[in-house]
Amino acid sequence: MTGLRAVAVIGGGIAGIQASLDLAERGFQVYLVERSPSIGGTMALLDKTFPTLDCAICILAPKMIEALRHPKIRLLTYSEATGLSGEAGDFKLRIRRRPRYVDEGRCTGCGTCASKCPTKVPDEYQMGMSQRKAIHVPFPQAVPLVYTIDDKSCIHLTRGGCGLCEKVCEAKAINFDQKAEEMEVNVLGIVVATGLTPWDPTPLKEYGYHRFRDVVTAMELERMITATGPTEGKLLRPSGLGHPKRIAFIQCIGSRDLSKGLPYCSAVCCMHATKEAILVKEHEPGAEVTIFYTDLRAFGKGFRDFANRARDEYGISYVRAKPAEIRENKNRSLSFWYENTQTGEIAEANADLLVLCTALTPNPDNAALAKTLGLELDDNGFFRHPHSVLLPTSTTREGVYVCGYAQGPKDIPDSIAEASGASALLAVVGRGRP
Amino acid sequence: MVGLRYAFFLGCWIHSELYPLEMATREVLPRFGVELVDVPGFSCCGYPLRSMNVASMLYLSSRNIALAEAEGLDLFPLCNGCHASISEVKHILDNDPEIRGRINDELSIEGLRYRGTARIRHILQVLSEDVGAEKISASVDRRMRGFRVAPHYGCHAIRPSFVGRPEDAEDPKVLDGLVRAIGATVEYYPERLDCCGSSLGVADIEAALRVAGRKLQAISVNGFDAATTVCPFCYKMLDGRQDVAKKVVGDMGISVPVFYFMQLLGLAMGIEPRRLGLHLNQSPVDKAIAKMEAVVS
Amino acid sequence: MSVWETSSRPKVSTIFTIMTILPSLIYRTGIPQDDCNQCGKCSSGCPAARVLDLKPRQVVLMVQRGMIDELVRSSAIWECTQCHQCMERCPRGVTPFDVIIQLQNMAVKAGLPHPESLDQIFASIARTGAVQGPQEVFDSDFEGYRRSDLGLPELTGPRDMVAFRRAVEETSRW
Repeated sequence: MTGLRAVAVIGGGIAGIQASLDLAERGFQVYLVERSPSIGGTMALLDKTFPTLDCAICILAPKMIEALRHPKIRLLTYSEATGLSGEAGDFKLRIRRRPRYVDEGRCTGCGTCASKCPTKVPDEYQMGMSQRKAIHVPFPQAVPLVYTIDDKSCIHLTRGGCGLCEKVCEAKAINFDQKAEEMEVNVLGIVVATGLTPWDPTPLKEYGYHRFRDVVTAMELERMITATGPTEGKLLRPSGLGHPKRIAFIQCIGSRDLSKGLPYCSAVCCMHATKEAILVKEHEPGAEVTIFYTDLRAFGKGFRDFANRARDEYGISYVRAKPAEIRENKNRSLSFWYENTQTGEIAEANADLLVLCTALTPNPDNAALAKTLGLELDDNGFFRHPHSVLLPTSTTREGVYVCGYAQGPKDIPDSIAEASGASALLAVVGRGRP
Repeated sequence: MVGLRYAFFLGCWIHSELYPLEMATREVLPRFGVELVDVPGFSCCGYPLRSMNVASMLYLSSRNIALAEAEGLDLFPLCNGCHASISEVKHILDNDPEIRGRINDELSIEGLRYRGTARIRHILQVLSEDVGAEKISASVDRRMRGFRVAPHYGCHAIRPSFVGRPEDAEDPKVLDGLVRAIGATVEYYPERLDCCGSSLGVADIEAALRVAGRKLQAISVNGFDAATTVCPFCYKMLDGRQDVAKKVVGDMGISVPVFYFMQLLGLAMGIEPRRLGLHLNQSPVDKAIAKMEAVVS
Repeated sequence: MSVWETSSRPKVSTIFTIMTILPSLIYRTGIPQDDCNQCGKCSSGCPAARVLDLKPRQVVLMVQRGMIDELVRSSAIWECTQCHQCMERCPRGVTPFDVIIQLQNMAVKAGLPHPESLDQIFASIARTGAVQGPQEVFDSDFEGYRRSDLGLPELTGPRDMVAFRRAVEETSRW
């Protein structure tokens, strides 16, 4: 207790990484708990960021490496919080480290194991559009660069046999006997930064997702145009019919929705679509790109200019309309009727590739985490605050803070700013008030 | 499940004009053990009066449900429109005690009472659930093989979903399954959910015919041998008004045989076309029937 | 004293009162048009919008702005096909269809122009129980058939027409 200078951060996306770096710089020992095998979160899966069009992983990776190398930060990837007791200033946080079946100290990240692994499963980091092996890293720039065996699909772990990875690993890093490790850390407080999950638009059957081949979500498109994506950055129609010439984006799929989706605005999709539209134009200069929106949310710094640039420099059309029903024609192209709400004109549009800009929800595991940590969620799955105006980064448990998308819809700059805000509050926990 | 006995409710259009629908249904369903009971005293379901006063539709649909309930039967409206309005009214009465009370006060004038005990069955449910695809397949011959049928579900079979409809609002499959059960081929086509335009006729008959014409055009362009529907309004528009609709959209090449589904089922069972009222269809069904005959002879 | 008698222009405030009389009939969620953010999905799928002037989105907008007078006098509100697509797909739980029907009901109640067929249908139902009685139909050889010719049973309408008529008239005045 006296002299306790340790904190925990749950969630290793950009917000969690920023909070960890801020706290570590102030001299705290930081335990950064991340459920997946690597830190990086959603930002690591983006191609570029808006409105600057920076390469996402290029600006993120230095922070990830810094988190890895910082003497005060202990990365606990492939781990989960399992229990919390105590109070602000003196918490005991229990953490389970799931077995990777790979020795972190020995693995060099060479990837020979994956090249020999016979098991293929849908790759969740490519939004299921391509496959990965049972032994895998989420993406090439993973931190730590340590392979992980997915124990649900690994042949050896599920029914015995195989073991090829163990045979070929030169570093002798494979260890099928690895067990889960339970640990407990004593911390002053916690920052929760569990991020976002894209909403699955399948319930909105009228949009044809999972019914028509060339209907994709915005995150799927993002992976398609990224160099490390399932098509190595080539923009190709999932139907196999080559490059799309007419691309349409539809905004607010599941957002601002009082019937089947989420009632709130997801904040970033208008700019995300603008960014993707620009990137699509860069991939396919001759393509016709249209964004069908309800309200163009360009509220941040540089956003309006960004949208204007998309329209004026790149020739992207913005139409204030919301299609009601997507149809697939015999030649696999898609068509739909729409009312241009600004002119009242009723028209039919055709597209080779339809991009649904879906709602973004807080992590669906927040409910379980809230129970574990003794926190409250609001009706939409975001962490509740003791006062939503004055204490926007506090949770209902003193000493536990929240930042990033887990707090509410926001973009990367706001996530970073909020992470620093939450860290600042956490830094003075346990010091007593004047 | 209550036994296969239903209060058979025809509504106004089938009873007064669209006889083939009634003929085909009375001819086919009893062969599958479904008894159609003619309960006296039915009236219009009130669907057309919704535009005048929703309360009129409330009253008229309620009284028909009450008549079926008095006989201890579920109500089986053959018409898509009747089924939708009656289902909607049932939903309102079951969920709003105040409205239910007021309606029952009105019903008492006729000595009727709404209790909420009757289900409202749709022809698609009777065929797919009560009879089942297997029994249907076992009762038909080969004549539908290779016959490509465009399903026209009709708006009121698929919407509004909150009162419960026999088909999914965006991806209907039940009628498709029944068409396959009789041995025909069915495929997705982009315009399959499009309205026939019938109700538009109240305001502007030409606009209504344009909508119908476009639907017929779509069915034609997609290469189907015929279209089938389970709704009398849709049947009237696509079959009865096909000639006029063709003119309105300026496509005289349209020639789509339109069958009420029970007619197709009856044909597949080898029942004589006249017993199914096919001589009264106004679309070019003869050529389709001849094609089917050629398959089995 | 009814407002319809004093002036030919229904007062807006009275109309809003009428719009709340039968909430569970007309509105699934209270006064849902407040939730409309004018996205236009309803108009995008509306079959009438493609061939005529009706745009459900615009109707809801005009209701939001209190332009009830214009709406009840317009011909557009009669162009609805009653396909229910707008209310099925609205992401905000607004029911443009119900709003349109309510406007139609108001127009009729106020004695404003509306399709004649409605009055004819009502009169027929009140008189016989049905929109029309059994017709003679013809095949392609112009041979005529009645129900009995086709083996179809004669079915009777409401047993007590006086009682039926009374109930129908009463509910039509709700």
